[in-house]
Amino acid sequence: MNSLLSIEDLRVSIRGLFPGTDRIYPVDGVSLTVASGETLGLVGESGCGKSMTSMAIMGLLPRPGGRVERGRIVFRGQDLAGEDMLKIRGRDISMIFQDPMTSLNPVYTVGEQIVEAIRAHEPGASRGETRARVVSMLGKVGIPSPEKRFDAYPHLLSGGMRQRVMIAMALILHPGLLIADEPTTALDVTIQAQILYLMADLRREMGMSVLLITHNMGLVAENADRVAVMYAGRIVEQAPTSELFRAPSHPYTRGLLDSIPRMTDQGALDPDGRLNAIPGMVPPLYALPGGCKFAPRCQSRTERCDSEEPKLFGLANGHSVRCWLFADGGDRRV
Amino acid sequence: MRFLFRRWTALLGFLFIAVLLITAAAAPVITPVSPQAMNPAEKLSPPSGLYRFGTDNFGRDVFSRVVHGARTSLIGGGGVVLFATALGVLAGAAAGYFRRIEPYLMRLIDVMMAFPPLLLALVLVSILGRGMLNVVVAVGVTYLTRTARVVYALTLRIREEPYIEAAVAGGVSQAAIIARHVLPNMLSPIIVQATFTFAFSLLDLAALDFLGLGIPPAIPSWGNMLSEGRLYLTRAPWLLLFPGACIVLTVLSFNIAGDALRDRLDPRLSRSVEGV
Amino acid sequence: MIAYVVRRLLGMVPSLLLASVIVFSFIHMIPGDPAQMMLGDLATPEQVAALRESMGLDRPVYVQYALWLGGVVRGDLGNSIFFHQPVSEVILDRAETSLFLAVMSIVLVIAIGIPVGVISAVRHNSGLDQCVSAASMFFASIPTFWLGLNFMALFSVALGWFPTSGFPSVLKSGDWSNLRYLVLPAVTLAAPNSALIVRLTRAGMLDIANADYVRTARAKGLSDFTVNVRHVFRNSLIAVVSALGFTFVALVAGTVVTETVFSLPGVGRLVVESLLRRDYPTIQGIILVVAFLYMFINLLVDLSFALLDPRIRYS
Repeated sequence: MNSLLSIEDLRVSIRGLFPGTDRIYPVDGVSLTVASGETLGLVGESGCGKSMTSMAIMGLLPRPGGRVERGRIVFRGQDLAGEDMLKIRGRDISMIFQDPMTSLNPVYTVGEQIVEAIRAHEPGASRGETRARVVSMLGKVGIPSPEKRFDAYPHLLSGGMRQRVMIAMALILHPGLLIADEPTTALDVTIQAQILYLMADLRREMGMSVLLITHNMGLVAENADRVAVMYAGRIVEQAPTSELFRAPSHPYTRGLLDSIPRMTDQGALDPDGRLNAIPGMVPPLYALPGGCKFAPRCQSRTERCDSEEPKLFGLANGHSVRCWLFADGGDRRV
Repeated sequence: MRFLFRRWTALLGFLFIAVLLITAAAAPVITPVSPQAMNPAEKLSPPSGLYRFGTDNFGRDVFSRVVHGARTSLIGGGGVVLFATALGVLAGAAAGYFRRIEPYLMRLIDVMMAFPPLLLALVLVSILGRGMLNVVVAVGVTYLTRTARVVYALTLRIREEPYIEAAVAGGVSQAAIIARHVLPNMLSPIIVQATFTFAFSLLDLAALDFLGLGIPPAIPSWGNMLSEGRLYLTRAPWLLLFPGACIVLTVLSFNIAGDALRDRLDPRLSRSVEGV
Repeated sequence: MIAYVVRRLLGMVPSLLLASVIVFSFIHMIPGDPAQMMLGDLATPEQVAALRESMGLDRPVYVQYALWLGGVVRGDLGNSIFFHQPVSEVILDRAETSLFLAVMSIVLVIAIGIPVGVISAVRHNSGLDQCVSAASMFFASIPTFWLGLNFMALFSVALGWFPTSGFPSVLKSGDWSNLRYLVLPAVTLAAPNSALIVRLTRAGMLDIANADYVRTARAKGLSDFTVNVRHVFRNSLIAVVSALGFTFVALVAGTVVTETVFSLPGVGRLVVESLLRRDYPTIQGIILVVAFLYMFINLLVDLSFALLDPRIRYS
């Protein structure tokens, strides 16, 4: 597979928030790849390490206190550890964030803020040409009368418009990879769909890859080619999207899918579909269990789960699961 | 690293405050000589065995006066804090809670803030006359407005909290809501504010004494000692050194304590209560 | 924008009136006969009666206030009892010293406070930051007059670098080197206020440093320097400017003390002298001017917010 980004056994640590606590590891042993033109969905609850993974890719771990302890992040065949991230950020890898209301600086016009991205990477770019590029990009992301909006301050735009501005800013230099961290969570439902269509269109048009970070399984089902599910800093299941939804294997993934209301074919709420919450709570990072991190909440747990952490076991169809039930490649679900 | 640094400075701050309290309480026991006793034969003598901090221009024991000055400072600062906090909380909570008087009260408080505290205190003392109580009231009035502003902002915020709405919806009476929900939630920031008020009012009290419009000169206070010692800047520097250092250490300790309390009690509000 | 300024100016009128009422009431808070108190025990009954007459103290209070306010509006702050001269002239006589002193200190406060606060925030949690925090806490805890006396003892008396006291007029003599008389007082006055600005600048920067749009700026590939200047500092300016407006009050109070320590012929010392002389018309005049100045500066600060923050400009 022609991989654009590959993360190998990544371990990230940050300093504990309180004196006396040791370093904690929000990302531990994560390996994943994003192929050219592919959308990878990275799914998990808040605090599972998905955002910290993206920050590690960007080289924006919290300072001081955050660092990569182990593993490599390889982008276009180069280990990012040896690269000048200032040159990569915004040009080769871009990012859009959850809350478009607070992600734009209120004191500069949206045009100025996009121009800044160009200036950072092309210091010689002429004023007029830069402006024309930005205006054309604003048009491309579906902002009406972009020439006028260039000089608008963020607070004068709606949330959906601001997210379009964020997308324009991220894509202005045609990056190979776009990291979208909960790009629609803060938006109205109708706007969410528009933004997702826009992202899908632009991805096809520009031929880039997308790392879509979300807690929303439904979003992934519609937008991702492959899915990686994270729990407590680890990837617990990874599969092509259709495969994952056809045969969700890790008890955590199944739990996540069981907690979404299901529709019948007629479009009504399925009366037989049980809506089950996963029992218990996500353990805090400073008090992770010794064996499988999901064991305390798992209904299929065995003694082995408490004592020994499972590896990621490969199944058929590009499917892999971190669970003892699949230790020999088979399915021992009860 | 920073936490360690903060911890031991905070410890030193609280330790100094404790020592100060004990010293003030035990002043007559600690000091061998009365703070008022004059010994003209030994006036302006440098620190020695008997006079640990030297003597002043009347031959009074500087050590004894510094120790008794601690009393004056603590009583003065304490009085200001009580006055300013009691009235400030009342005014701030009233302005925040009763919509009808809010604009008038806050306008009055804003206008009061237009007068530099020291200036206002000077005028009030000059009108009321020098005296411990008058000085405390004069300085207290100037700090009342700051406490009122902090409490006002807090009340506005707390009033919007869901648990207040819940209490109102549940039919709890106004008085009970204020007593059981609003006040307890303001306690921490008020304590922090009071600590800073103490620290800064000591500076103002000392300045009033120094300018000759504070506590009557007969009462030993650090400000009065500096006011008198000023004339002997070069001849008897110990007259300035000891009381001045005491003011700095005390104010510093209370500022450190205020910072520590703020971090400890209410990190969420740490920005809204500013030690100024 | 002009409409906004006009609205703000009109909004100030009630505050100005309220301030004038407070200042006016000072004299009437004096227990007993203010005229007697101002002239002292040695005054003859005729003198007291004459003063009472000239100040209109025998008329009803509201008439007195109306007359006084009418004068204030025309720039007449009454007459000084001590100088037998209009208060406005007395203040103007002393204004030069205080203005030079204030300008020199505010320049120092800005030149020291803002850069140190910014560096401290950028090097957040470093050893340097801790030293700055400790130093600013220390200077905020020193009585201004004690600091001034120490500076005087060290730099004027022991080292002889600066004159100990007084300030010969620059404007009358045209000799700008006279400003050396104000160096120590200005440094004294600037020290605690710089400490305050350092703390507030640092806190403002740290507040902004965690903002989402700062993360966006980094994600764009901007350098640390650009992020800190164009995004963090630019947005924390609002907090810094409002802190500078706030410093005005502290500066005025500090002037009173500093001018007394260094025996400078300024308005601050005039306050103390007039209070000791019970020259209340002069006090009233000075305090009224200070309160008006404060409100005016506050207005400027608010207007500058509109320049600094488009959200305010467009609302």
